[in-house]
Amino acid sequence: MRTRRGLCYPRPADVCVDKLVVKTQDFARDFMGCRKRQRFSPEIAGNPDFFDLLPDDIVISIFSKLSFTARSPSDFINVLITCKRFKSLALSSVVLSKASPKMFAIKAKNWSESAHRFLKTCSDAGNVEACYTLGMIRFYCLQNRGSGASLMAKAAINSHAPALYSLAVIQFNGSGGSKNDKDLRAGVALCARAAFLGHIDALRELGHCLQDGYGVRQNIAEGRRFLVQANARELAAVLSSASASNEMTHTWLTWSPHPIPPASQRHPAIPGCPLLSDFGCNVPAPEAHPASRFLAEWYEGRGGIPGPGLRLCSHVGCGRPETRKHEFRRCSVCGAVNYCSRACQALDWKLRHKAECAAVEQWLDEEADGGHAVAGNDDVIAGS
Amino acid sequence: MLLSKNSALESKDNEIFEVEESIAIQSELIKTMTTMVNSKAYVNERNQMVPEARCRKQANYHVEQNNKIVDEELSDWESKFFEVDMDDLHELFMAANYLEIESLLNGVTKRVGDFIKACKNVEVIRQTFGINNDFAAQQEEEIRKLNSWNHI
Repeated sequence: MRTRRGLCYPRPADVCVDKLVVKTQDFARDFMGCRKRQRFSPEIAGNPDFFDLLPDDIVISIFSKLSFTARSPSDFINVLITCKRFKSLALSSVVLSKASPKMFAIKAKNWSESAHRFLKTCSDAGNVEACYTLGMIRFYCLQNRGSGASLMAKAAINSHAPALYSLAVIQFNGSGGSKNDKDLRAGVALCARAAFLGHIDALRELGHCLQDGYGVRQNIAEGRRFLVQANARELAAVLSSASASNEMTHTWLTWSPHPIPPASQRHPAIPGCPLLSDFGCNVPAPEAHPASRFLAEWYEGRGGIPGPGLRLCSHVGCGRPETRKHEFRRCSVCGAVNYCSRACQALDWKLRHKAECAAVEQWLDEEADGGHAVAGNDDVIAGS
Repeated sequence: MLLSKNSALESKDNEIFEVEESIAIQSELIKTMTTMVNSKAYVNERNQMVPEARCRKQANYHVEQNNKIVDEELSDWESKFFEVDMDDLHELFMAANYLEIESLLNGVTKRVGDFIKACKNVEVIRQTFGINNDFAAQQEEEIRKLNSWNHI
């Protein structure tokens, strides 16, 4: 029904207008004309809003771009609360499937049924990041092993590298089951697939497996190559992100021929670390995935203890808990820390543990040649 | 430049734009019109009347520049081009939608998306776009509560 004032303009306050009418091209042209007339008629209160005249598919594409570039959940949620039309259009599967990983960066203390539902809706819409995040949360935090693993598998099938790597870790450790549920070959296969997609932790893990002949035939040279590649990729990723944000890279990126750079070289603002001790470069630690951050916060809120007699992976960026006693391996030198995987162990060694483990090495110094012991430990623990 | 065909496109307020054919064809609508009309290779062909407002001028401008500028400059140029107020953005939208120019549409949707993101909360969004809140008070309260998990 057409009136002189045109259709579907929001009347002030009360009347709830049905905005779900799909607008066609002809309508749009008529509206343009009506809109122009409206501007000059003072008796009409309440201007048509910006989105009123846009057809649904355009609004959906706006929301898709919004979700794709969202930096936090609130960017998107604000849209849902704005009005009914927004809510229904924003929850369409096209929009949700394009959402960025940052949109699922939920704080663990805010976890609730509605957050859970939101993640479920997004993963049902086909968003791979949502599948992975929800899978991790269900598997570790909510202890729902079957559902968590199947969600991660769904993401893994769509070539989501972190999901593949997480499944590999589960296979290596036999998480969620007994010691006999370990499947090393499956772990290596998943790791290889993730490494092929460029996942840095998976590359490291695969390198260590090859060096040790763990789940795969031993090939030390090949293993070493993978480890070097992991380091190179890490450096490349950091450099490309730094140049994208136009940072001064040479404040933290320093060249040092010594394996352990003196403390004075470290930039105070950025925790520089000898991440690439091979090349002597200081590089900041990689940014953790929102799912890992969630896990870390979740257990922090529970006093750092995932259960009776269970421990967390000592690498802070990982956040994984044990699912049974003595599941994780510990540092052979000091025995005070334990890790879910060799990749976490290697990373934590370089980031932090190398300095702390020194106490035990001093004890070893009395017995043997100091330099010898350090080099030996490097090989055993860091393996790179 | 080669002798490219120029199309004369007339807009609703009777302005005539001369554009190169290759540029005009970026609009899907004009492309279908030209092919349907079965044109021969002559210069200054007059297309059918395209009933459209002044915003067409902007669309043409954008398309032209698109073809001339290199990639890095293009993003700068684009961000300046889209820094217009709501009404102009709206007109650009209608133009891009009607003429079916995909690149222009992408640019405008992105811009509006960024606009929404820049709004700190729901009230600002409603103000900026003039949207009426059609939730009942109770519904709104429910939704806010349900979605409180996204707060930092």
